[in-house]
Amino acid sequence: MAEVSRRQARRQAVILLYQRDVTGLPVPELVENALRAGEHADDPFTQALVDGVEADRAVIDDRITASADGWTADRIAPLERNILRVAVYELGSGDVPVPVAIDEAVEMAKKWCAAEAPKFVNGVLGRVARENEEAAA
Amino acid sequence: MNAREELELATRRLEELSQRIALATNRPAGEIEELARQASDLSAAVVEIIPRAIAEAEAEARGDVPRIGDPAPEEPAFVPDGLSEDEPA
Repeated sequence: MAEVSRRQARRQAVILLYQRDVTGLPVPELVENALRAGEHADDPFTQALVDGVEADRAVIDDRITASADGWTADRIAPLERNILRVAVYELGSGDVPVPVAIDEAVEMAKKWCAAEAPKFVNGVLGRVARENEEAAA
Repeated sequence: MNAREELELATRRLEELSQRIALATNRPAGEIEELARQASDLSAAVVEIIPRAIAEAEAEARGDVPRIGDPAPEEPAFVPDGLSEDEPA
């Protein structure tokens, strides 16, 4: 298995979750498909992110809705929604420093989404991070 | 059509098909099977388009290709040099 950076692994996780979200196809089928296309979809960090989001998706979506100021998770565009899901999962896991998790998500939104998306992603994740801090205090 | 436009179109079609399948409970089985087959084909297409759409957005962000709406470059992209195969010999 080739070494991939955490950024590449995170990118792959968002792609798999986005595909799952839009098509409803099962994750193992999407992973097989990505491997056939030469993507590193079997990277352990990618799998941990995808499995973590899948396992806690309802809770993660509730947290996004609570922090999204008038938006519900199901009304957010699917690409933004899955960037947010991965970042909210990472913020809750404690494996990644908070600024890193937020910055990585904002960078993906800058590269992939509409112009207003990075600000929206930053705002939602900032609120989630503050709530996490308050809950831990 | 670029990959993101393809994705938008395919996603919209997939949503429409899903709604039709959901509403088709009293339709003949053959019709429902045909809708399901179309949805399956479209899902496979969407899965294939998503990485291309993301790679396309990344290329635009790096400046490898102009973003839609970017102003045209001031220098002409092609300067005739007499060697083009489109030019008469």
